[in-house]
Amino acid sequence: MAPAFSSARQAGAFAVSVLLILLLPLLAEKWALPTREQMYSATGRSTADFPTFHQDIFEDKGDIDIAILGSSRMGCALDPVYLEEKLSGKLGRPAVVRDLTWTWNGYDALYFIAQDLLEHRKVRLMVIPDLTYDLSFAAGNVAHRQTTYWFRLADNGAALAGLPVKSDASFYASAILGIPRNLVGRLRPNLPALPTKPHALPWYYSQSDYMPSTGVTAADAHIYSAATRGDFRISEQPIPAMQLAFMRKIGLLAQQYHTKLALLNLPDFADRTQTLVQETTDWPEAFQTNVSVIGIAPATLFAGLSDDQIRQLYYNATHFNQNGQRYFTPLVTPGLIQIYEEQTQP
Amino acid sequence: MKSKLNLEQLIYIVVIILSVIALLLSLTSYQFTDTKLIYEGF
Repeated sequence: MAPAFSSARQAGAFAVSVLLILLLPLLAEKWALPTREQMYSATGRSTADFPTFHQDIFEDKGDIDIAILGSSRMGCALDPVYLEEKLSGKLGRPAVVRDLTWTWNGYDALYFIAQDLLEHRKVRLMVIPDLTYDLSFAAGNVAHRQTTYWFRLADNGAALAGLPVKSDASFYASAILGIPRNLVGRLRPNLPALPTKPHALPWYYSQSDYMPSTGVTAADAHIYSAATRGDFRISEQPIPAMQLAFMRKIGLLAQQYHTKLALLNLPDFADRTQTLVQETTDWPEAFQTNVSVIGIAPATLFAGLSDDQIRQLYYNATHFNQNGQRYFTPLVTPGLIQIYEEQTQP
Repeated sequence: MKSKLNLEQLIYIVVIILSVIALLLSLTSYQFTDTKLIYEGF
C-alpha cells in the first residue's frame, strides 16, 4: 500500500492544516467574523425561512405581542396570521404576532434564537412547544443539527458553561463547520426577507381541503392549574441533561426580559385516543420559572372522527398539515389570548 | 539501547493525534456525518 504522505514535509503541512481547522472557532474572533446580524440572512431558505428571522429580529422595530418559537411541529400547528387577527380584535389595536420556527428538535436551538430575539425586540409572550419530543439521550445531549446557523463560539461560548463535555464538544464541532460560511458572508451580500412568503415548510400544504365537524370548542382547551390538573397526564419521563440545562437558561432569559412563557401541547396521531393532555414533564419545574401550559385532550380534539379523517389533519404522524392547522389554531387561540392578557395586566 | 524520536516520527505522531481529535469531534454531532448538512452548513 502506498504511504499516506510522500514526505515528512507533506505530513507536516497536513498537520498544520488540520490544526488550523480545529482552531478556527478560537482564531476567528469577533473582528474576523461578519456581524451577528448577518447570520440568519446568510443561512438561506433550504430548510426554514431564515432571512425572515433576520427581518423579525434585526430589521423590524417595536414590541412583539406574541412570538411563536419552536420546531416544525409548532410551525405546522399554529397559524400566526389567525392569532394576530384575533389578538388585534381583542386589544383594539394592530397586534404583532411573529412565527420563528425551524426544523428538528432541541431547546438549545430555541435558547440561542430566543436570545437574539429578546436582545433586540421586547416580546410579551413566547409560545413554545415540547422540544424534547422524539429526542433520545444520544441526540438530546448534542448540539441541534443546524447549530452552525446560529452558534458562534465568539458570541455564544459563555452559554456552554456547565454543560456535559460531550455537549461542549458537539458545539465546538458545529462552530468549526460554521466558520467558513461566516467568512463567506463577508464576501457577498446575503438574502433579504421575501415580501410575501410561502409557508417555510413546503410539506405543510395539504393535498385536499378538509375541516372536521366535531363540536369541539375553545372551551375544551385547558390551561394547566390546580383546578384543571385532572385534565393533564404528566409522564415525568427523564430529559437529557443538556436539554434541561437549556430549559433553565430559557427560563432565566424569559425572566431577564420580562417575557411570559406558554407551552402549547401538540398532539400526535398516536395520541388520538388519549383522554388527558399528555405532557412529558412538569414544565414550570423544568424551566424553573412560571410557564403556562395549554392543551386539548386528543380524544376530545378528535371526538367522533375516524382514523382516516384524523389522518387528513396530519402531514405525518407528528406534524399537522394545513387542514390540521386550520382546525387546531382557533381552538387554542382564546386560551393563548387569555394567557397574554393575564401577563400584561398590572 | 535508548531510542530517541526523530523529527519525522514526531510529525507523524502529531498527525495521528490531530486526526483522532478531528474524528472524535466529528462523532459528537450529526453534522459531520450527514453530507447534506455539511453542504448546508457552508
